[in-house]
Amino acid sequence: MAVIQAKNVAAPLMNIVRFKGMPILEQLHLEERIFRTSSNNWCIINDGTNAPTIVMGVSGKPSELLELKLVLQDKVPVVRRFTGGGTVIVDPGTIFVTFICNKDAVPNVELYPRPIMSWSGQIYEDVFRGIGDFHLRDNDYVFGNRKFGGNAQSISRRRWIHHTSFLWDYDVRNMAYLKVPKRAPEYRSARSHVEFVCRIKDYLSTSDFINRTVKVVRNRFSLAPMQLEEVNIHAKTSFDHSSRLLTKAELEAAFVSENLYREGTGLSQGQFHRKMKDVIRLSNRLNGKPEKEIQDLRRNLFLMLFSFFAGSTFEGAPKEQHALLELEDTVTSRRKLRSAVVVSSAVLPARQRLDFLGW
Amino acid sequence: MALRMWASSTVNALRISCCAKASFAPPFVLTRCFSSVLDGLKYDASHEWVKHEGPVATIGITDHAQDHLGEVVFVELPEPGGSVAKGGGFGAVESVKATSDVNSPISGKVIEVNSKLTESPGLINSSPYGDGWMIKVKPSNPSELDSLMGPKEYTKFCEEEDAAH
Repeated sequence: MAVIQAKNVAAPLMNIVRFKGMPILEQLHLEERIFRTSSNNWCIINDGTNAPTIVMGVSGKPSELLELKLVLQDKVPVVRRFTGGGTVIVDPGTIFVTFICNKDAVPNVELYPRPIMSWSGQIYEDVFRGIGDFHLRDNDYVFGNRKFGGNAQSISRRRWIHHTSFLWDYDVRNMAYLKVPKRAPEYRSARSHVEFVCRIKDYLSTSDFINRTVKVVRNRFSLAPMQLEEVNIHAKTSFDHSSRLLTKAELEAAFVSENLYREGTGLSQGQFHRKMKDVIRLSNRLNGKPEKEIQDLRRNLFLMLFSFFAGSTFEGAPKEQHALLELEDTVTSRRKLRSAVVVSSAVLPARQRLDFLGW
Repeated sequence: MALRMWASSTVNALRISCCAKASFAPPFVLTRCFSSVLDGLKYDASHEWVKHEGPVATIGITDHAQDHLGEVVFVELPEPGGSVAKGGGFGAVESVKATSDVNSPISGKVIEVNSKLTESPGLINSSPYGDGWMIKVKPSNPSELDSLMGPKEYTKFCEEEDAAH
């Protein structure tokens, strides 16, 4: 007993907060606030979120990752989180475990993604020892070759956050909202979601899994249990979160643009943008304008409705291209989109598509 | 020992990086990663470089950083016109399921950002000192450059950091 106590005295302090059924957006806001404004180490455990929610990484593109027609039809909320990584659909069967650590708390871990992932892999190796054929594989947690935990991180100068969504259980029907991602680990071998993932439920109860995790963490840190209300003592109460719920308008715009590329033009998004740039370049040349590099067509800087009407940004670009660019851009209001559609005759096919949106 | 590279425009062709093929480690390959460090640049402890040319300073992340980060798939950059503070974050890169802050070595006003990185974030990996530049800044306090590391100091810093882990 004295030996264990001596070990914990030397171990870095870690606050541990536990919830059940916290909405995932609320959890992400809490985590980002703690990551950015607290100087303590933290372990956060949320046993299930309250409702099925799609959560994309910071750079996720809805049109590439989601079955948007279904998502819109069933009004599934879509959250963009502040960390990297892929897309998951979380629900009451998902268990979330998050570590937020100072560089000094784990001095052997360099502040880069792979060392941090390796550190967490060791934690869960201990958690699942003797339970299943656990591995960290291509940054996923797997039993054998089936994924049951997805990871994401954010790293600052002196701190990092590593959070995991564990599939204790999941509803097969929810997998229908997600596309098989283009960028997937090799071991996935193009398997569908259902063939690729598995449930911790087949190995452990929720309480066993959480208790085992806490026990392993306690071996490495001196744990200080904390209630949610106490978090505000250690982190700023107001904070400008970057995790957010995507709006219906954004999802609709992504759906429309995805279909414009595929059905309207027969082109992929990348091909579409390349063609657009070629048109603008040729147009400039025909008008005797100097060759210059075409900026990224999707940057809001060039696609403001104001500048569209002022005609000031795209020299020589045909009106059709203006309108198509407006459609592709993230739209914040229906009025702007309708104006862009009305102005250009080239978007007649898109107008027919927009009918289904009830415009 | 890190290999010290003194080339300029040919540096990328001559660059040696053994971390690119992380999974394959034949016995004769050294386990330490070699990163290129360019002469004429200044470096900070969070692995960004700055090239000061008259009124403009160009900023990016070093070869050491891109090597340790892995394949960059997404880059977040500020809008031109904004300001940066020494040691403060101005953007982020995403690699291996992680967003990593990128910090500015100096204070100033952002006058240009590298828009190529939107379509081609991998330029940070393939050309961290060239086409992978991130922002151009008008320095507000050029003396801040004096507190940054030169190539020799930065090389030693990387060696010590790698040895400690």
